[in-house]
Amino acid sequence: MTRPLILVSSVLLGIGLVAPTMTIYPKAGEFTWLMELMDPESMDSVTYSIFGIIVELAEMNDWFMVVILSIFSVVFPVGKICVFWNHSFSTQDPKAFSLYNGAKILGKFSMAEVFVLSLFLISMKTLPGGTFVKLEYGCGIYFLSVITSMTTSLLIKRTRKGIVQ
Amino acid sequence: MSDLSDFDAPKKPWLTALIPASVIFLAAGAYWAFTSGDADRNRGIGQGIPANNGDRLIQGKSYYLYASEIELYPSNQEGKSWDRGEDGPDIKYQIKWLGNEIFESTVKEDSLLGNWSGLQIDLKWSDLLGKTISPNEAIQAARIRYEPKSSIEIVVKDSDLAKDDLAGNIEIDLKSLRVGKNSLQFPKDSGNSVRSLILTLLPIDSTIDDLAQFMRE
Repeated sequence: MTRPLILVSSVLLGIGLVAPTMTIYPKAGEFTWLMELMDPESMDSVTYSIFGIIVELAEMNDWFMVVILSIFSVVFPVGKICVFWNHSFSTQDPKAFSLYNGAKILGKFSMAEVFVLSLFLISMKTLPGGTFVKLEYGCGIYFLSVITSMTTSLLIKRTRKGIVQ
Repeated sequence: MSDLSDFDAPKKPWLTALIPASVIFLAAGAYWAFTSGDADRNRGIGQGIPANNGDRLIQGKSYYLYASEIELYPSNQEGKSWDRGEDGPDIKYQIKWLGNEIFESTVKEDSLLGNWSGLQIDLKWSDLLGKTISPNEAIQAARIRYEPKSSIEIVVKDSDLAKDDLAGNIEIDLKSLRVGKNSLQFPKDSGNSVRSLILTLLPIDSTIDDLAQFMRE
């Protein structure tokens, strides 16, 4: 059960990273029509994926945010899944167990859950000028990946307890 | 080895740990490959000229009309330089319809080639405190209604402090115009110093997107 779940989580994570996560609809209050006339390109809605946000930040040379987002939203979730996969083969290996514990600790610093939650909160709030953010299906897929990853972690923990007992 | 009981444990665990990583990147790559074509198609839909560009005018329908470009000959109707010294003419134009002046443009100083965008807003600092502006105020164009036998006059002048000098008085039958840009050329003679004129016509009921696209060109 654990391994198929890890594979499902992997597929979901892969799609969730490149699928549209959110769309920003810019508005300029009562001057929205004017901005649409004068500079329609700046008023076009923009859709981002998580990977797209990282690429956009890189194009803006914001390397600090590129590193932060890459590590916490891509490297850690991917690394966590890899460790879970490894651990699913060797549940009694102390080395694998310590890796599993390490992954759990690193997982606490993973921004995956926080990222989804903050996106959700932003979408609930109307931004200045009436600008609003609409969550896309990529956010849901990424969220499902987080859920399946957490479920995997729980299943491994339960298996471990059963073995220890 | 301490994991003897894990009979199905792989010999190289870190190698197998790459399996989910590969699945992640394959899923991402496959998704990107499937959807990138759609994105290109969608981008294509948003671009391009409005569908009604080049259409004939419809009787009874109202249109925005403005000169997006006027070029003058290097000398005035008398064959002399436009202004004293080496300064070029200060171009402005008026549109007359049914014998009435219905629009006057801003002045383009010291130029033989004047361009007008059709969109202009003059804001003062005090306006930022709460002035509201309607789209009609921002559109700098004449409003006309098309009737097949009607015509318009474009009066082009060199704006001067004392007295404006006439550069050309051009009468155009509305039925010769089309929606979008209309490029017209004129020979120089004793009554005309306008070399060319680009008139833009847009239906008043155009969408904001169509108006913006036309007027920004």
